[in-house]
Amino acid sequence: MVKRLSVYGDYETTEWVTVKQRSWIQRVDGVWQRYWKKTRVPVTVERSGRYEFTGTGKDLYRAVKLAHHYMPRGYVEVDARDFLENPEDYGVLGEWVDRDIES
Amino acid sequence: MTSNHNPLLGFTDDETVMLDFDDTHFRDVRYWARRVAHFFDLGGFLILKSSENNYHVVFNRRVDWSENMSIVAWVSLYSNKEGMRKWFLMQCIKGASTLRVGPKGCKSSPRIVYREDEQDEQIMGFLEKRKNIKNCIKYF
Repeated sequence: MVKRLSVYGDYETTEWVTVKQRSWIQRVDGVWQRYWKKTRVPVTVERSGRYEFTGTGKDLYRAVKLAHHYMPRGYVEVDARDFLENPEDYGVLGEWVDRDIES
Repeated sequence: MTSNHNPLLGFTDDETVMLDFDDTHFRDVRYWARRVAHFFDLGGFLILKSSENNYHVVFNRRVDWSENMSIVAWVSLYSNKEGMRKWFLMQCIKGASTLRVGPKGCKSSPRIVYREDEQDEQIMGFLEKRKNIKNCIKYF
């Protein structure tokens, strides 16, 4: 197996979650009836992830630079060039945070 | 969205025997490195200091993944280091060993503090890759 460059850590990103929202509807008999509507809201969540990049010098440098903006979706093993072409396929926009984590 | 913090950068390989000693004095690390290198015939080794009383060891001979993990398991069992055991389990889950190359919070990049015997095989590969990674870090 080839040697790889690892980019890893904890990050914060925005995820859309489904929540129940209280709403009211007026019935034909004039009574206001409460009901629960499902809606999606953005929440900031903390996740951890890891890129395992393979490739050559310049591609690796560009991939690492891009990895500062695109956070890995879990464990991602990818060629640096593939990641540069389609970063959205492998990561989501977010922000790295400092945490004490293991290698 | 822009990041105020940088992610950690490391070197990953499954053919190189690498050890991570936490809360261990340099003399203990060197003792275990010599013992392992002799017992498993791993050639030379390289010791890097990652922070106070935290060291990384890289060995020279190329091994396969199963031999690699059997060596790391041997060390974690006999050295009785809790940090090493935790690190070993983490590497088993990932299927490859990783050592940090870049800075981590207030800790700087690991630096070489000791070399012994041959350095021409896996250690040379490690140092080349480390140089590439450090070049990447320079620009961030």
